[in-house]
Amino acid sequence: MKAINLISIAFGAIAGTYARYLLNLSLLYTGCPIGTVIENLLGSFILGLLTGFFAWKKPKEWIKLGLGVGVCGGFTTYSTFAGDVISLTQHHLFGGAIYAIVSLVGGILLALAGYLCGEAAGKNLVKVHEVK
Amino acid sequence: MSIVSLALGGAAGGICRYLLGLKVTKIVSNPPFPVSMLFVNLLGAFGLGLFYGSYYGKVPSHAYDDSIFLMIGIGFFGAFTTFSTFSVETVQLIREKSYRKMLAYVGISAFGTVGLFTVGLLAGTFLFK
Repeated sequence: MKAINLISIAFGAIAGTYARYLLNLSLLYTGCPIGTVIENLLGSFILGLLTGFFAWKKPKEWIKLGLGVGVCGGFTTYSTFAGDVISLTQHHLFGGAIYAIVSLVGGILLALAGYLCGEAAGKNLVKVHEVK
Repeated sequence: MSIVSLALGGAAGGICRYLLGLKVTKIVSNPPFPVSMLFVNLLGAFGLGLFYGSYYGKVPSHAYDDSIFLMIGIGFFGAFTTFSTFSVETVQLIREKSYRKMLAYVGISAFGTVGLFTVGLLAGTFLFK
């Protein structure tokens, strides 16, 4: 257990959490938990991108952990997802179901899109290095 | 004050997720699908429900000026649980063509967190109000 890994995760998580808070706050006026949907979709895309890219271009462990476990993990949340589903279902029978389907299907598709983009970018970079 | 609460909760949540994830991976060798973040997300959803139930007696709608809400709800449990790792792990199962495992993983994650959140919410409301 390296200290630098934990420090990197802590700072990444603070940045991710703060960004999530700001986005939630700026979308409070809508009266629906659209902020959490955007965070979970965007965070899934970014983590997919990083995972695909890092599969080809190995970074230092603390960088990978800080960005993936820290920033993406702190930016996205499953507990608020669960809370929002219950809260929306109480207001409208299908509200929670729509929210859940958009989050789950959207998150998985965006993670896949991110992975493919990241993989392509990583492959290209490795090729460029080989040519040089 | 709210920023300090958020930062403390977020950092603690992220570190706890990482350490607990490592622990679960060590205990459960050769799992059928990625169990470490599944366990963390289920536990975190229950925890958030318990916090909401015991502190508010319901799911709070406008609590962004409350620093306890920011530290525990948005900060700790928000950062403790993760959606991005769930999505990426699901993609890995799709890429391995393990479609049954993928469906089980998504189903247990979604229904499990919502179910455990509800159990936590009811338990918190019942025990502390």
